[in-house]
Amino acid sequence: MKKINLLVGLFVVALMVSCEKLDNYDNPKEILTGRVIDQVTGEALDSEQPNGFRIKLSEISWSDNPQPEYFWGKADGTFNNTKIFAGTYEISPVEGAFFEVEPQKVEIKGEVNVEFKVIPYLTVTASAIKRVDAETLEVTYTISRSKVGDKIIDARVFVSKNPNVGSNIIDNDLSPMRNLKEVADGEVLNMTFKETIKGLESGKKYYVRVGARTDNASKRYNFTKVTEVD
Amino acid sequence: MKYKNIFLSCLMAVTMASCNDLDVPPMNIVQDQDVFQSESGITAYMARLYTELPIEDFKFNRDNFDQWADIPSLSNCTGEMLLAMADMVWDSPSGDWCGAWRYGPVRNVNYFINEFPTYSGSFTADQANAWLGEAYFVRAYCYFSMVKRYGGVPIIKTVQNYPEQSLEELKVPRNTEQEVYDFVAEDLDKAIDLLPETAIAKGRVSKNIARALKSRAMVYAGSIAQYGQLQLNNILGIPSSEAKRYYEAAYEAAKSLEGQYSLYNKHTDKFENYWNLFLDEDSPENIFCKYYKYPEYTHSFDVLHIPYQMRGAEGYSSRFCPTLDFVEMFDDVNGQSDWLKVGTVDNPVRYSQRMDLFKNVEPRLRGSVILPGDEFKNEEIDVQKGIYVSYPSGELLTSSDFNVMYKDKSVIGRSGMGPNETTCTGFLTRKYQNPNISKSQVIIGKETQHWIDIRYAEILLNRAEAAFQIGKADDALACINLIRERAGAKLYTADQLTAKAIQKERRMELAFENHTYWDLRRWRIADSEINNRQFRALCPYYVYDEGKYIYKKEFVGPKYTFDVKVNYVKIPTGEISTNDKLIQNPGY
Repeated sequence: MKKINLLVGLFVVALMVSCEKLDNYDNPKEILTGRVIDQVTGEALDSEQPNGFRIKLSEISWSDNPQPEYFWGKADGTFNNTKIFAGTYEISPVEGAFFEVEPQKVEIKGEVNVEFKVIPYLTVTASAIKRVDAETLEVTYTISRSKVGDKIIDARVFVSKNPNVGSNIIDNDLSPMRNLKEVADGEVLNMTFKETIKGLESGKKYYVRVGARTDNASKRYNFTKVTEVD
Repeated sequence: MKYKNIFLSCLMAVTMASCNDLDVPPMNIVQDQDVFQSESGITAYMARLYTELPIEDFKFNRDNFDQWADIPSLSNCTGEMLLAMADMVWDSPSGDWCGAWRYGPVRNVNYFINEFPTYSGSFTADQANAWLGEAYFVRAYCYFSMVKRYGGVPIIKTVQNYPEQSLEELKVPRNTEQEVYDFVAEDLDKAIDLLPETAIAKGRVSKNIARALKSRAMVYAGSIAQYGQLQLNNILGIPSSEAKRYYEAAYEAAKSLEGQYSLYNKHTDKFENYWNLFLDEDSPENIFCKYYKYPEYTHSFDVLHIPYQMRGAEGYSSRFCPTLDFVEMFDDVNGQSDWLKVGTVDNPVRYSQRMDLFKNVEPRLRGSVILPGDEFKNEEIDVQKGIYVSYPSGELLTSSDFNVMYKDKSVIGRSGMGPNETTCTGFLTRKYQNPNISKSQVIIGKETQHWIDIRYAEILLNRAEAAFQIGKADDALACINLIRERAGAKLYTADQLTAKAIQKERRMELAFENHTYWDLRRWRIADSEINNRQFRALCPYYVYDEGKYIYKKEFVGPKYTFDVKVNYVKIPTGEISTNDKLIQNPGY
């Protein structure tokens, strides 16, 4: 038995030996950071995570028609990737709640910062979010847009006890949705929506934001910033 | 020296001679002429094509065809049913579930279509046409199952050869979704042309089966044109102006089957009738079926669906549980939608028998679902979540052990709810379950009931959906009412008939038959239907001091969200790495 163990041990050691050879290519370590800026407000575009937007990277150093790679952007509209191979890339933000933008050609070496100005599908403005009493919340909002896109399909107040509130993290019962599929866009843009939400737990802190979306392919929402209500 | 030279040249002459005749086909490989010149050879070739048909039967699950269907199937991705509590999962953020990249079978068909005509002289024209028709049908079936998943895929009509063709030539880019649907229609038209009126053998295809598939494919194309969006330079989506053309093609194909098939109506009791429709091989409603035979080719449907109290020796049972949300889609026999009268939490309605709640249940629903306390195999299916000593103030007893008693009464009945492998929603599936097999036969790999891939009810629904969109609402109403009549539901009036109502009818009639998943996607409503949604159960409790049952509607399982990108399945990354002309679907 001991002999067998010894033999097996030796065999394993023999196998390990072959692992010695090191990869001669350096780790990817170039850094790409940046922001997606809302042209309307001039600030970073508020989205959510996951399912906010992605950054598409096509490395054109080697090929004119490469398979793209993607990574997710953050909810505050910034993105950051610290593990990129040095090279020339075409970069664009995709699948977010904004109109398509021209890709930027960038040589990534060291730390590179890229900013994209985008036109959001919609701009949602919450004129009032207030907790009128322990159990009740009142939200007033309007929807506008600077460029005509797909049909506006719905708007929703998102409420949750989690600060990352959005279409992923949400308390269904406290988050009324307006179906706007049958309402003409012109009318929607002139309306002021008011929601009175009852059933909050008293003494609990809630996070609220408003979102609206067009019938875009990825069904992404345009959001307001998250508001904390005590 | 001279002699030596002569000898050598003689030797060379002798050895050279043998090189003459070496170019013979390998004797150990079956050659084309062996296969394509005899009827039995072609039958064997066809057997392979049929086996590779991507039919979403009992053995199809999220991973592949011909699987042990213990893990999520399509119905678990729609909220029609949930998988039993312990391993209940649904969600496909990766988007690579339910794929079917079927270029292997396509190649086999292409080879046949390419090579067979050389040998067709050995047969009568009818025979040769029938086989070619079958080949075109199989190719259309494969392409349809790809286009409904991936959108546009490369259309390959001929056999590709390597190294005769260069690698670049072999890399075919994706066609548009519209081109693929048109290609499916074109192949099916050829099949309709070539196929015989009656199939060569049971389970093989005929003209009418090709027409039936065409109605399905065209109604899919129509709805994608109507509800979808164009993406990736039209590789995904169909221009909305094409919707009418596709709906008309679907309508025409479906209407051509009128009089050829009829709805199953052999039994007078509508519940018995609906249930037997799925078990009777000799049904005028069956259009295209996949048959099983013990021991060569079997499935294990009952093992996974049977109520706990009658499960077989190997375990499993109750793994697929229809949700309350599904049950609530149905109205009662009088057309009332709020027929599940459970009362309020403080004052629930008391029932002396569990089935009293379902007094007016639509027969079709009862034929699809085993209700709590319902009868199956001459036994009461004893579904009970727990006992209230008294209600509302008494203690609630639940258990995960069937032996736990409260006085003389079992706490969780004989079929649960609670322990592993009991229903998690209160309901069980009845559709397709065979009531005639004994407990000892409920074991893996023993079941042989046939899978109905296309039945006439679907054709009527295809026709109704298409007719409604091309201004033939009367025709649509007539089709829907034929189905509702057979189902035992209240007939619709003209003003009740909307596109939504037709969609709902399809979901109810074709539930658990692997249709709804594709339907929700092609109507583009999956993401709004399943948006942060938690599905519900209907839980029966026994109130001990009153000797009555009460029901509670409860949430069960996690919340689900259907990601819109999943409207199109992810192109397998392995395929993209071998063919860089393939563009990935958005979101992956």
